[in-house]
Amino acid sequence: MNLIRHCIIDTTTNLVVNIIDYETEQTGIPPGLEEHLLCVKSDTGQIGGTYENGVITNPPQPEPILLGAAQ
Amino acid sequence: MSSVVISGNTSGTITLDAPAVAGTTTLTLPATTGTIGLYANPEVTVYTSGSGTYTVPTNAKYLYVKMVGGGGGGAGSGSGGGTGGTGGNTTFGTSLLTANGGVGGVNNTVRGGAGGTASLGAASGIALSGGYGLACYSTNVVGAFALGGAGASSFFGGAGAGAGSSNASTGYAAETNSGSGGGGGGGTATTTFGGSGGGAGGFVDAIITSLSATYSYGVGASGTAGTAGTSGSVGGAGGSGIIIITAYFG
Repeated sequence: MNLIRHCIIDTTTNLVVNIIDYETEQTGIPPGLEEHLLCVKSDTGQIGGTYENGVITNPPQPEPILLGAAQ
Repeated sequence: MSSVVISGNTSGTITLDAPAVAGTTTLTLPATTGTIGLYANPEVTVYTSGSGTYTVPTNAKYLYVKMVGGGGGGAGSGSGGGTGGTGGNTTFGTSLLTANGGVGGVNNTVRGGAGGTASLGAASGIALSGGYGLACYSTNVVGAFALGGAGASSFFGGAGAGAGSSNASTGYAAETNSGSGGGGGGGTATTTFGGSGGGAGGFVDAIITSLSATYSYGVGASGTAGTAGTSGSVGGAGGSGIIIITAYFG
């Protein structure tokens, strides 16, 4: 079964607080969860991203602790 | 013993039936006052995705819950390879049991993604953070290929292997519902960067004895695979989380 990836948005902060897969596309409050949360289908959104005007902007990638650089 | 008394104030009939087996069957009563429980098979519920509400079965006495957060994705290899996604958080109850997702691996770094943390509220048991994914191997030696780091294994196993050669340079995905990290990508050409492995999801093993009628739940998704950089390949996705609930009645 192909699951559909959703971002869970905390509407009090507009931050992505979780990622949950569902069997069908969800909108509105995630089933069983708190009313201040919002379910948004997204293949690329990440925890810590921001949600504004229907668009999820991911947080910057972490700075790597680098190995010796390849040339 | 002077007598056996069966007392009560309800109408109807109390029947004690001997089993249909040969020999002697003995029922020994405890030397104390209390209630004799009747045995019933435990009831197991498994959630592999989604969110919703778990309703505690009638007459359940306690719940035994095992769960893991989603595993982090492995990083992509090559110059500028993408970081793996962090796995989703698995939750049971409101601020009760939490197993957070593992962090995705990073390209060309000395350590893989961190494991997800875990916590217990009003429950007994353990809450363990997941392990780090393995570092990758980058190389500037002509003729040598970069190696991807393996994902960290959760309590349930099933971590994704790191990619190790030019013929199989894509990092391996962790097993579905394992909560383990995905493997990092390896080099498709010599002298390039590898991708590190994703961290494992946090793990909770808990018993809940003071039961509510219902509990909310959510199963963390897998961390996405990191994208390929120049002369590199993609990492492997992490494993999604899982919740296993066993209700006991005696």
